[in-house]
Amino acid sequence: MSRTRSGWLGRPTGRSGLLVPVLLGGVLLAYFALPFVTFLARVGSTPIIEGLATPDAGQAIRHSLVTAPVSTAIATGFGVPLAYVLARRSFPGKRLVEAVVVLPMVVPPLVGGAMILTAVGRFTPVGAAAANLGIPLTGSLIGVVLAQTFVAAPFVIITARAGFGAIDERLEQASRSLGYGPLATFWNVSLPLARGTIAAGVVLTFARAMGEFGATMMVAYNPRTIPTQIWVDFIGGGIDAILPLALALVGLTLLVVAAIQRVGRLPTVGDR
Amino acid sequence: MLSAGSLARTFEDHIAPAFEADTGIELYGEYYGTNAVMRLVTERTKHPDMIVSADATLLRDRLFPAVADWDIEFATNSLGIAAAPDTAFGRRLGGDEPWYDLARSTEDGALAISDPELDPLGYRAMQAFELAEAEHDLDGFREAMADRVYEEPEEPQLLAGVETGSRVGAVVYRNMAVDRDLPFFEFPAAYNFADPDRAATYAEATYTFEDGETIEGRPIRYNLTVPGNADNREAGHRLVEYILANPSLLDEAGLTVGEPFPRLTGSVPEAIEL
Repeated sequence: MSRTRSGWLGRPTGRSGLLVPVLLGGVLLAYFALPFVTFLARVGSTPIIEGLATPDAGQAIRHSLVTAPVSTAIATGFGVPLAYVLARRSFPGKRLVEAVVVLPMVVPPLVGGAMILTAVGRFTPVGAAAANLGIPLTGSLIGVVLAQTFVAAPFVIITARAGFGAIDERLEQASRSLGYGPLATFWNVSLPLARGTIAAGVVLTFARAMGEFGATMMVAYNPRTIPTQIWVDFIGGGIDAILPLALALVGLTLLVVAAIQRVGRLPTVGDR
Repeated sequence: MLSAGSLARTFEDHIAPAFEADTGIELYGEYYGTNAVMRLVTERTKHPDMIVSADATLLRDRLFPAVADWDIEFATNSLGIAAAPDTAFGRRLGGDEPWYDLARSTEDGALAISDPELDPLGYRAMQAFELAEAEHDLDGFREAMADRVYEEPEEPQLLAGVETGSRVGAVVYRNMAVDRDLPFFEFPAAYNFADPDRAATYAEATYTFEDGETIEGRPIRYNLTVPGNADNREAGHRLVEYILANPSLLDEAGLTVGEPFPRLTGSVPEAIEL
């Protein structure tokens, strides 16, 4: 990058060239950080370890750690191919497909959960058939996965689509002209080139699945995930009662996100 | 089990652990507002093995006879003020000064009630103000309080305000204060809605909703039933028996048990040993 390039608002660059964005970003950052700090400041008066040692908390953590990765895997396995199609093809009804993809982000999760219930609830044909086969779609870990996938999948689809869209199509054409088929090209060219963006989408989807509450509560209040248990704790115990699990949720999510970023060798923000 | 949200802590912390330890049956509770509980059942969205309502009449109105044809009232609760102990209001409440003088002199928005339009706890607070006005000859007390109190739309937040120090107190049920370890000033029986025998007195206070519907004051009565078509009726019956046989668990949780409870309505299944 050239050092002589003119900076923000036409002033010469250097360190001071980032002054305006740093200031603007700092305002938002402070706004994010303040509630975290004030929330964490209550930790001193609450026994965290004791709160996490209860059977309810332990179960909720286990349920979240089982369901969120499964939901993320399903969303990625089906969503990345969809993202590729959307990035590379025009077809009639494409706008409709795009609308369907963002729909779960538009409706409040609670409404999303209600929609899932009307489709696969216990007394619907699908739900009743599945229950007869011994696969309850509501009030089960499968129900939790259904809810999480519905709400969280759009994040990986939309992000991966942007990643595929940013690849120079001529690279894919070169692969095809060398005799590789579309699948081989997708696997050897498109996917590796979009890897960083897809990993970013996976991170978003996982984080959203971990935190999912509204749809999950509708479809599967039990077995409880961390957010559902937090809600039950809050109803009866207020803010201090939710501190231990809230901390566990944030900690576990950050841990997994860091792991995904390492595996995906995701560039940190800015170094591209 | 589907239960009124105000009993979440009662079941999660008191009944469920003891019941599971004694019977080996796992209890999965789901908590909503009582109105939502009834709707979830009648719309066949949820299919619980036991239903607990914070409003005995509502359960009968909604569930009889399609879902169930019996119920048992098993406890009541009393209305009063949970106060922030480190405020002047909190320190003086329960002393020599009458609570209504202290309440009347709080700043705007310092004392919270639940939103009367959304929650029985909210309109019961307004009705208590009305009954207190009559009981203690306090001219204009209800209106004065209506202007002064903060109406909290989210019931779980009601005491969060008191705990965090943004409110000096809130009108709540006794078990809510017990749950949070907050000092509780109980209203006298004339307007704490805990005495089923004072139903006629309580009914003298009314609340009119924005849509024009008027509701009379009613005693607080928790009741429960097991749906006739429950998946695991047997477990539901065991839980009913357990709750009735262990009133001390309810008492610890801040509910009021003893005479005249339990009260039976309809034909309780013989499978339930009382």
